[in-house]
Amino acid sequence: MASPGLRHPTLAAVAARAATAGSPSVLFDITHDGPETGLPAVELVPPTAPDRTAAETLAFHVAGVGFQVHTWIPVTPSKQQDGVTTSRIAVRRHETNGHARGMFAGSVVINPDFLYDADHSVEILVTLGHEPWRPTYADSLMITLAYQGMTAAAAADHGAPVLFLQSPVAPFRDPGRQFRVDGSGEAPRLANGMALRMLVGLEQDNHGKRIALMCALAGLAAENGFGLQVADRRLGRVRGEWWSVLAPDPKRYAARKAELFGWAPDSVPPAVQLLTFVGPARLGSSAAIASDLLSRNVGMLAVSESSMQEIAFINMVVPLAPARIGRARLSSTTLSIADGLGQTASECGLTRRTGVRAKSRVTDSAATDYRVLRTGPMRPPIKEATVDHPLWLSWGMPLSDALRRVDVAELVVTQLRAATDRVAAARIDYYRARVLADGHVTGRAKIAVSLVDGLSETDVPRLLSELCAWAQRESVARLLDDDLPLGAVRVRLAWRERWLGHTGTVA
Amino acid sequence: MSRAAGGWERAVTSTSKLVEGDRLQRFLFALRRTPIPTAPSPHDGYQEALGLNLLALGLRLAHVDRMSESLTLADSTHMARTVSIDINMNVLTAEQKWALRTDPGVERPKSVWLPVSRQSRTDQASFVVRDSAGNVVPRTTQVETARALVHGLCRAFRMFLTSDRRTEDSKELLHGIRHSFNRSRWLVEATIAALVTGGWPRVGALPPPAADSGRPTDSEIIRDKAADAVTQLFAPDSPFLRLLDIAASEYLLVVEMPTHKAQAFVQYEAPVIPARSKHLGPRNVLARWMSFRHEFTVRYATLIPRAVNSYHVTAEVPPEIQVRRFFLTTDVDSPALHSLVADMRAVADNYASLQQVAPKLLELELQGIASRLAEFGRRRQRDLESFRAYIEERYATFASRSPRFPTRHDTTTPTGDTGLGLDQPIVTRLERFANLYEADYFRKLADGLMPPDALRRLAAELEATQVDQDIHTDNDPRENAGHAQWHRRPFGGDPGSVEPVTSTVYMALVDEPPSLASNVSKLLLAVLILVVGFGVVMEPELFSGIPMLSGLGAWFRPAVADDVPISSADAIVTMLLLVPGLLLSRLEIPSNKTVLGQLRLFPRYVAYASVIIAGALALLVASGRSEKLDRPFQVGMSALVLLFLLVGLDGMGKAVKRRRRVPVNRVSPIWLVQEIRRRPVRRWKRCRAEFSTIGIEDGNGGFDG
Repeated sequence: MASPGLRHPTLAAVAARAATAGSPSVLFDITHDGPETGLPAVELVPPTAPDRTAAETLAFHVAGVGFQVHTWIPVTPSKQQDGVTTSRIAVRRHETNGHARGMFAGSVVINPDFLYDADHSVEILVTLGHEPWRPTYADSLMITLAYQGMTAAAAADHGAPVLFLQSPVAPFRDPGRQFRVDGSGEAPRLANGMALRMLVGLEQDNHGKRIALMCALAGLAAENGFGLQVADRRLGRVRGEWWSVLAPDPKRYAARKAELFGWAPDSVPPAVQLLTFVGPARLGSSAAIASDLLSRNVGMLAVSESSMQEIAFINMVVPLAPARIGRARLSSTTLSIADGLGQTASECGLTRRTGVRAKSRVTDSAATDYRVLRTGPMRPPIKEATVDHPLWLSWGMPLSDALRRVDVAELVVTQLRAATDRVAAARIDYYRARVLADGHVTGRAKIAVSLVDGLSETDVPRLLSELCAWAQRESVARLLDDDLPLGAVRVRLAWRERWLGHTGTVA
Repeated sequence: MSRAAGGWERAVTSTSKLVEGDRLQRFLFALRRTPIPTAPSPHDGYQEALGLNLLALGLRLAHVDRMSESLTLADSTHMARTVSIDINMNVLTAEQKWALRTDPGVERPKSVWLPVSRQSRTDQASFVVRDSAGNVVPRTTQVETARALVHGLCRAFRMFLTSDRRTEDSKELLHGIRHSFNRSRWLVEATIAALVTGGWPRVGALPPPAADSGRPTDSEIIRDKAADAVTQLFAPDSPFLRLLDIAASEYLLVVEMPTHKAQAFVQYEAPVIPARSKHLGPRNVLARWMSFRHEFTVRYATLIPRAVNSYHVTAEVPPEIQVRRFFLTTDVDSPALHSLVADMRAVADNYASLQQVAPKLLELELQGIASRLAEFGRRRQRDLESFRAYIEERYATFASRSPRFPTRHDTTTPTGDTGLGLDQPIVTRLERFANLYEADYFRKLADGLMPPDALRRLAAELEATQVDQDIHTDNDPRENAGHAQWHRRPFGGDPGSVEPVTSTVYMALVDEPPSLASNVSKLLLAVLILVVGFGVVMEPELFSGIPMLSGLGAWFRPAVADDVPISSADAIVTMLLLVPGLLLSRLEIPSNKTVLGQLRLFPRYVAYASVIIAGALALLVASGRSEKLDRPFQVGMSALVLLFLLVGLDGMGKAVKRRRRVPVNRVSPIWLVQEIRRRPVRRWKRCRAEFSTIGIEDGNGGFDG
């Protein structure tokens, strides 16, 4: 076949959806959660539209701060948030009782040119270190460097879209001999490490691009001592199976960190700023933002970038510069990208303005019409490193009132916390749910659990297996109490990510 | 490997439609010829949503669960088909049902418009669609569908326009197009409407711009602005232009479906398709009259929507005809092969740099390629096994011995390398590769086991041997019918393409004994005996040397004087005319328009010839004198013996054809022919009658719609 393009049926579907809804725009809510604004439970109902169910929901939490993003299509045609306007992106701060609590609502006209299928994509894991996540200022700059390198590699040449990018994530280590008895073994992973996971969408007939991307990333990793893993491409392999290309090189990493950012303080940042960049998904927008941040020496503790209903949401936790800590009170603002990046640079840039390497060119880039939402400063409780284990959860069931009241992931976490003899703490790190057009909800979540003290290392896999089976069974039983038929409920909880490989359709 | 360049090539062209760049050029050409509207076209939210939803559903046809086709040869050049479709209404979402409602005024739609198939615009016939109860199902007219599509595509155009960020910059042309240059915008919409209703124009020359004192005219400015805006908005490979292409070159068959049922069934008689074959052209009268066939071969190509889970094709022919071979091949694995081959070439091109940057990256790429090669090996080997079993089963119907296939190579012994470079058929090599790959023989492929040259060679060979074609054989127990079933086999995690699957059915129809040929040989025998009998009686000296006949002649010896007319001439003439005539009238000789008539062309000529010979002899007997009869009898008898020989040869030819293991034509996948024949093919044959619902075929064996 000459060009078995996949984009025109996708375009037809997107346009049909928009025409049916009567509006080409998508509404969204973003909440910046933290100790100062509160850490609400994850749910499918957008906070500013309690009568609706979000078509897509994303939640991402790390060290007590995080984001929740909900998107949905309006019922009424062309509902804009800013009154009469011709602009395609509108965001405003949502206030309750006159106080801004890190909550924003807005709408974006979708970009029908951004049509990518996650099916034909390549997933990459860049590991900075296998230790539990506890980045210093210098590490945060290295994360920005990795983020910039990865997005630039994706945007190079004709460009490939970054469909998903996140850090911190669970790093992966090739299983040791003791876990390989019958080939199915896997060592329990660490919930959060200094690692970035990226999913790049590729055009079906652009095979050279994938190889060029891989080569660029391998070069980046080798230069900076990062580890590089790529999703296994062999037939029948699923998500969560990684092929190690390069192992992290701690010495090289330390040397490179000292060389590039030796001037940065070697301490854990006590205060952070939460940023969200929002705009129509477009090739090269994240690369433009990343290079701007890197050139202004803005570090990065956490990032979660994803496209939901063809809108790009780039959420970041950025450390505040030590000199700026303690001056400002918590505030939420929405800004244009030039102002937003400028203010971020002045508050979070770890060097003086004169020390920055280049002038900002973000207004000439693909991200020029993006909006920046800022909330801060917040003081995340980054504790001493604890060993948490990630559990992966995937579910699918018909949307019902019960599901709108209690979320499946929250239910499973509650269940896990009830196992006090095994589990010391459990929390949702990452959550993504989608209401499909046929009224089904599918979702995926990563739950981090800390086991009680005094367990031997070799017992952990068995304990986790027992725990997952038990929590899964009990959660299904709870769901059945809410009048959901057993046949319609699919819940899977596993501590090996690839066990969910065949079930979920959601990232 | 050198075989690929030997005799296995066969022109395999794609089903590509317009070339990518072509679409934009054609659109701009159409834009120049469309009258400029002076008022905006009406916007209708219902029509917009309906049109776009029809298009989206019609492209994927994800609601079609099963498709069954029943083929009937109306005569040798026309095929009628009945299509049955099982529809799963649960696939439709509530929003889609609402958008597709047949009555725009209702709150909860009771019935929806649903596309059930896409037809090429060349097939223009009226369809009658029936449901499971046999009731006629209402369907939209093409005018209504086109109106909805026009509204929908104009809406999609405006979506592109409003979402473009250049529309916010008042210096940009697109800002003007959106806000102030209304007539240019309306012109683009009018062009979309003209294309959907009238189809693509053929690009030709345009009149030169009017010389109005050097200044461009209004309409020229409007058209230039519109053309610039379209070029800025849409890249030549834009999915929008592709959608427009489909809307402008195909018709959607849209029927009304009730929403209260989860599963529905519809059936329709598709238009009769004429055969396309060079034998059947009007100028080839002689070829049509003179082409004797032992088999009437039929090829039928159609498209199956990729989302369909199962596809059945049934063909039934009159009971006098037997279906000798019937199978179905599809290119269902073609996206997987396309992606594999592209991967192989990309890796081969970047081999050195991958090895230098990270050897493990190269290993991963090669392992990804190897695992898919192994899957192809397993799939084609399974297909090959089922085809061999089918041929064995066919052999069992007429012979006690089983067919002799070429000896299979050993596919389980390690060869030291990948074994993909051996001089063996491709499927054998892939099968061995699959066996060894699963036995962990190739854990270090980057150590030179798959060098770039081998990758490139193998990629070319995979494409040349059509490894993406699967095969499904007949499983109908009846002799005069064939049935093959295809079901979807997803290829691992490979991209789910939406291009439809091309499926091709091959049928070989024959006239097996008791056939006309055997009856004709009886007739021939009777005529020969008659002629020999009269010869013995009247010209005994002709048979003087022959043991029995000379004695018989001497015993008969009628007292006929050499110079007088034969006294019993009337009786002889009557016998020579009546007996063959009576026998001929007992034969069933069909019209040569039908398939049976085509198959019986040769025996029919033989029968006529024998009667003519007898008639000519009778004429001579009636007119001539007895002394002049020896030569005509000699000629007549030798002509009859010659006919006998011809009939015998025909029978032998049939026997050879019956034993043929694989048809060498454009339907059989090349890997199959290679595997079963083991000899390069000199000439790929065409089928006698070729039917296709895809489009107009070009001369090279591909389709060109």
